Amino acid sequence: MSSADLIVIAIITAMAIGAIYVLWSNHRKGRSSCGCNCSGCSKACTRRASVVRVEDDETCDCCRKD
Amino acid sequence: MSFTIALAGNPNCGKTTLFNALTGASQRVGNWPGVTIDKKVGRIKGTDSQLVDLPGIYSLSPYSPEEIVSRNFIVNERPDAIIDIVDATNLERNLFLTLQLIDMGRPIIVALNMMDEIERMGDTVDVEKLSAGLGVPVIPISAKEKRNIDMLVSAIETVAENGTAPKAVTYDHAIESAVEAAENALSGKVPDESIRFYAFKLIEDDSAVNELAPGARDSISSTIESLEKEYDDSADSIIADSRYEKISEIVSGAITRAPRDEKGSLSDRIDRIVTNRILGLPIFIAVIAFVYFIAMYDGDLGTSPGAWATGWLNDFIGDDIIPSVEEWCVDNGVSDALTGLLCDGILSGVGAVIGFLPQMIILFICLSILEEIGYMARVAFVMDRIFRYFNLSGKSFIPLLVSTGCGVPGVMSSRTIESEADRRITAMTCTFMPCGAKLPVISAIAGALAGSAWVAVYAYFGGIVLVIISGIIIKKFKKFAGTPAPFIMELPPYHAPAFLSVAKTVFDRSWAFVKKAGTIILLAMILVWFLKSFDWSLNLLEEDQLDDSILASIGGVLSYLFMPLGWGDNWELPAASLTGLIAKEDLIGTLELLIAEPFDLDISDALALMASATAGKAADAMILSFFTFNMFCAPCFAAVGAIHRELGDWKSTGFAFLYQCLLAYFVAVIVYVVYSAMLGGLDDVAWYSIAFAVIDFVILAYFLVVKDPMHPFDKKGEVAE
Repeated sequence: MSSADLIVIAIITAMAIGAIYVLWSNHRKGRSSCGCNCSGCSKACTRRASVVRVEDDETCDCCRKD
Repeated sequence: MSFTIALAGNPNCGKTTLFNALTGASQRVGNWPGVTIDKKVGRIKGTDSQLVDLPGIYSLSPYSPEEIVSRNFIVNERPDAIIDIVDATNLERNLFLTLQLIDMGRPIIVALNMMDEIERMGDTVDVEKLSAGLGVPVIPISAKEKRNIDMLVSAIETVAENGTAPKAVTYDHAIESAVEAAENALSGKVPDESIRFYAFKLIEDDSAVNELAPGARDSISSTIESLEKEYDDSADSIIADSRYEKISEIVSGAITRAPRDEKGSLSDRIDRIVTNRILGLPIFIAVIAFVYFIAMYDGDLGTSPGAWATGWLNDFIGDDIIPSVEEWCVDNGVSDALTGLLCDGILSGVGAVIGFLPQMIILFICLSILEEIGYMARVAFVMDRIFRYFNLSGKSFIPLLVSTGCGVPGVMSSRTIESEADRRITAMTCTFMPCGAKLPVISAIAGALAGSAWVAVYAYFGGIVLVIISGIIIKKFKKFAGTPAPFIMELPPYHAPAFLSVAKTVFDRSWAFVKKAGTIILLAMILVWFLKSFDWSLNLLEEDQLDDSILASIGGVLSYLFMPLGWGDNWELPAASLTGLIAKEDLIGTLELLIAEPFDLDISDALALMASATAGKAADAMILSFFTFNMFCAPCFAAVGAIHRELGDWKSTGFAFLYQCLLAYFVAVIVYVVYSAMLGGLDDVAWYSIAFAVIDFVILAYFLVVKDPMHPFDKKGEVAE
């Protein structure tokens, strides 16, 4: 295996791990995989949603995973 | 000191704009009523006080989820003070809520918003007289221009610190007597400070108050009867009329209106055309066609800005970036497998999706401007008339509009619909609309069909038609039967689009698309590359051995399912549809990897070649069938998850998933056969496709026309078993 192979493997692995980490991190934070946050969504939450603290996290309950 | 301040007001009176001005937040502001559905909390700049932005409401009756959220917050959380934001250009209607808030007994201040509009119209408001009439401080402001915001903050802190309850606004003697009797009946059962509010609600026969104080209304029934007899009206109407009379009295002394143009305002004149019973729908179709034309058209009339920019970006990725990386790999002796994964898998797949970003940006700009200027609120009004004709609620149309950005918030926004049946139907069907993720699919297929904008218009209005068809079909089942929920929507005045608001919406949506390309789509492309490059024995295949790959065998099994749709002969297309369930853009990435990149073609040309080789004269019909199925079948997993959260159980979610796929299948077969016949290519269509189309047509016609709706109510108005 050449050093160039190792570089390419490192790049691809980094991209894949980075993508998985972002998805996992969003999942843990409860962010929707649609990528939107509630400031970018015109009508998102009502009955089951609780108070959203804008200064802490722009994601409201509707975008959190149950 | 630290206070909790509630921000309450009517829908579309500038509440979210004021919230942003007070807190420095950047919550989405929309020019249609109901942008704020939940309550949001922020800290008022320069203070320790927190501001709770309540949903826009017209009254404190528990008729809608928004009213319940607001009412419960004020009653249960007891904010230190309330900022009641009032639209100065529409005082009479806005003050109805103000009078109810005053009755709640919490310290309150009125923020008289849109004073810039008042000045522009030449009207004047005597703020002191208004304040004296209401018995609460009134601060004239312009949230949009951030005028008098500091004065408002200072005044609300003073009011909260003093904790002074507002003086009650009084009505006729008979009403006051009834209120006094109601207060006595409620004494000890509700908070003292809000007892006047509860007393009015008891007289109005409010169900929540009746639950809170059982028997209280019975104890004052004679008082209410005599009140109703005296006014010859029902108690709730008497209270409402009295409030409006009082408002009229207060406002007439406080506002001086400049003479109006008899033809009405500019907004009124525009509305006469765009909401016209006959012209409204054709204008909407023309507007949407124009939007997609700007974003996507590439044909005889020229190339639209969106198509030009996308073409440039695709060329840059395909002709510059990927060959450069490939050259570097070859020069440095990178193995064929790794070069293939990097260049033919990741860069080609993700690049094929990212290439459509310019078109998406232009589409998002156009849709945001339409929404910002207030046109989309008119569209909801126009569509309500059509939806109602088909026994659907016009309220269902708002989620459809939201779904054109992303299906997930679209599904979530169905929560605003009070009727459970309508809410579930809307959550199940709003993803028929073409979301941003479907745009690359639309664009690629449009190229294959030698057209462009009309394919997008077909997807947009096809989605609306399928929602209507679904509404008609599903409402014929007892579980979903019922009259549609009422839809009341205020039409806000037109105004010029705010650059920052449009820019923020476009950036949010575009950035979400880029993030998605770098995560879900990247991983999916690695998976697709692996599945197409290896066989079941994990041998690396040559480019001409694609048919032996793992993906080919999966696609091959699925292809039998899609034979009647005309594209089952090519395993690549069913395989691409399958990956489209992960994210719709994956469909494009997969097609790039399977049919375009190996032959050095772009997706549109590759699809057109494949179709003409497979279906002859019916080639375009085959492509349209493939497009129809993928536009309207089950959405991506994220949206399915959102549907599950809305429907509450996997059984209903499974039903929704199957229903969407089945309906898309039925429609795609019919489209394939009918369009083939129109093209004169029926000879190239298999007999079983025609048979399937006839059966599908009969089934759809049965549910749409023949099957009787199951009426939930019998003639006596009782629920039928």
